Amino acid sequence: MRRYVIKRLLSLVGTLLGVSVLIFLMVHLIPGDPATQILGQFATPEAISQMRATLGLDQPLWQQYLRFVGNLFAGDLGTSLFTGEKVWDQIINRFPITMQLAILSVIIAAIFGILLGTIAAVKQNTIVDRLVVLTSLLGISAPGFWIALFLIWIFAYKLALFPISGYEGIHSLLLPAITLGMAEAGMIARMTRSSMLEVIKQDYMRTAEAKGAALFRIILSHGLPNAIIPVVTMLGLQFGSLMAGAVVVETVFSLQGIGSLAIEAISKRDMPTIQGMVFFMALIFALTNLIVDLIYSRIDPRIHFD
Amino acid sequence: MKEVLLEVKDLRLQFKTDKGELPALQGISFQLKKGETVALVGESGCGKSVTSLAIMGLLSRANAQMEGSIRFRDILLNQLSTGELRNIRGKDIAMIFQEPMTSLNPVHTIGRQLEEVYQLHTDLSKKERQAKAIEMLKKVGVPRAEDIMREYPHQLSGGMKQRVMIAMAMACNPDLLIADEPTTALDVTIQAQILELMNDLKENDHTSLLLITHDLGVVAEMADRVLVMYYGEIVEEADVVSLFSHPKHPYTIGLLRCIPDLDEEEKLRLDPIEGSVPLLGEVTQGCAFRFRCSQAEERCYQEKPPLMATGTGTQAVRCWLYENKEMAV
Repeated sequence: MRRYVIKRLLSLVGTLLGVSVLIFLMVHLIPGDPATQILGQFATPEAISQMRATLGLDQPLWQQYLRFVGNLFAGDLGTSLFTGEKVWDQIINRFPITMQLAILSVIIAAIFGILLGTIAAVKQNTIVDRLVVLTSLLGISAPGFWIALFLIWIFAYKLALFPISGYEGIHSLLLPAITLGMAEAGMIARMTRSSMLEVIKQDYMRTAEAKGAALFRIILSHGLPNAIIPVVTMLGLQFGSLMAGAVVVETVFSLQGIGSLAIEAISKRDMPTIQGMVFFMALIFALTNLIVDLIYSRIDPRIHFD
Repeated sequence: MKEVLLEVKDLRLQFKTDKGELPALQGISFQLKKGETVALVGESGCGKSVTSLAIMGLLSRANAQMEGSIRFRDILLNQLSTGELRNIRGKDIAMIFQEPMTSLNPVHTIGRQLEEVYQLHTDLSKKERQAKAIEMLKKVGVPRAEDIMREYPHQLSGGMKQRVMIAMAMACNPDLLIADEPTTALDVTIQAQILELMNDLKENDHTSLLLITHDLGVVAEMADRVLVMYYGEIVEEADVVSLFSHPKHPYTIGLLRCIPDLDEEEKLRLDPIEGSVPLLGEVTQGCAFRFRCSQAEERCYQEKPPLMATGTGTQAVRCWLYENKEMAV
């Protein structure tokens, strides 16, 4: 197990090196000169070339890359062209909100998705089943901003239970987390349902019944641990992409998370910030995957890491 | 005369499907006495497994409509609620299935699955359950029982898994063990070991055995009495010696001809029964075997023969050929 984790972490370094090449080249492939961007189009040629020298843009490409990657792995993601803040600091400031939001919404998705999916499978072809399938379809297909506005209208405006926007502590994240969680819960419910339907047909479920176990026990103790295996993969993927920020929901609820930082940086062509964020997200995504794989070996004893 | 443990009377079963109701069992009656081994024999699709599942109450009540009665000791199983049936399942009546490979839960340890039986049917403490489970594994000949308790099904061979299944079935010392093709999925050498194990356990614990198989070799080895099934009906019933020495029903005779005989020199080829069991619902009148029977007469197409006594012991046969024959014997 430990050897496996070390191996995975080493390969993670390889992945990040690949990512670093891509984000380094990104600056040089995208049209527009950063120096001109910073100084504006009326700057004198002298000022621009001086700025290029400060940014190191006059050096050969490979030298620029070595410096870039050296800084990256030393934890220096550069400095924002606009705010003058360290990119790393910007991300670290914004990240807690995004992480809390991601964790909260994945918990909501997991609880509701797995619960409803399991009930639907057990009650296959009944009204309950159809209702779950329909609701989950609604959850998947309803646009995030619409659900968000709907929730704000009821719970924040009419009932005044939550702040309408902004961050005033963890409870401000509940409505955005429900918004994100609903769509995910829909997908999780459908996946749990089909996975559970498959599991219910298995011989070992009949064995459990022949032993004299009650339905509740058969489903919970024998069915769910098997049915949940593919669901965990999906939860992991959802969590990974949520950690990269949820742009629409963060915008609607005026949350200062990673998603809104990305939007600001892209609209201003703040290259160091964009690069730093892509690198950071790649790191987070890879770590999430590793954790999901480790959870996998916990729930499925047939998977072994040596 | 030994005490009757299980009595199935006129058991009829219909499956509700989109294409209407399909008759899976058409009036099965038989008795199983204490300590006796009865074999249910026939090709795939003849209703053997369905009979066993009906006794266990493992058929979905929504899809299967049942008539007739199944009496176990003095309990009418078919009138019990699901909850009452659960108390009997796994404790008084236990079952072993055909596929040991898929019959154990892949995500639970052997120990957990075995202990569950005690958890469901006894008040034993966690420690006692564990001790019982280890004892049971040793009893069914599983080596390194303590280690196996912590292992998962995929770490065991097919034969070992079937031993674990037997341990699970015999855990509460059931009065009746139903074994549905217990050795079909196993290697021949392992088959013999498993059969021997089942025989030993049965003798020691005075368990009755309902053995479902299509393998006449297994029948000869294990059974006291044999019920030959065809198309959801019992077509011949006999003690094992009579069945092998003078089979009556053309189907039974056909089945016996299918066994390769190494001693007989002329018989170089196998002699299979042509055709296959009709689909459910296909036969509405007459004898269901007539399509494959070389001795079928006009009458076989019109009238369904009843199960008739043959005069030789308890042997009975469902075939017009034997009408009035009992007079002659």
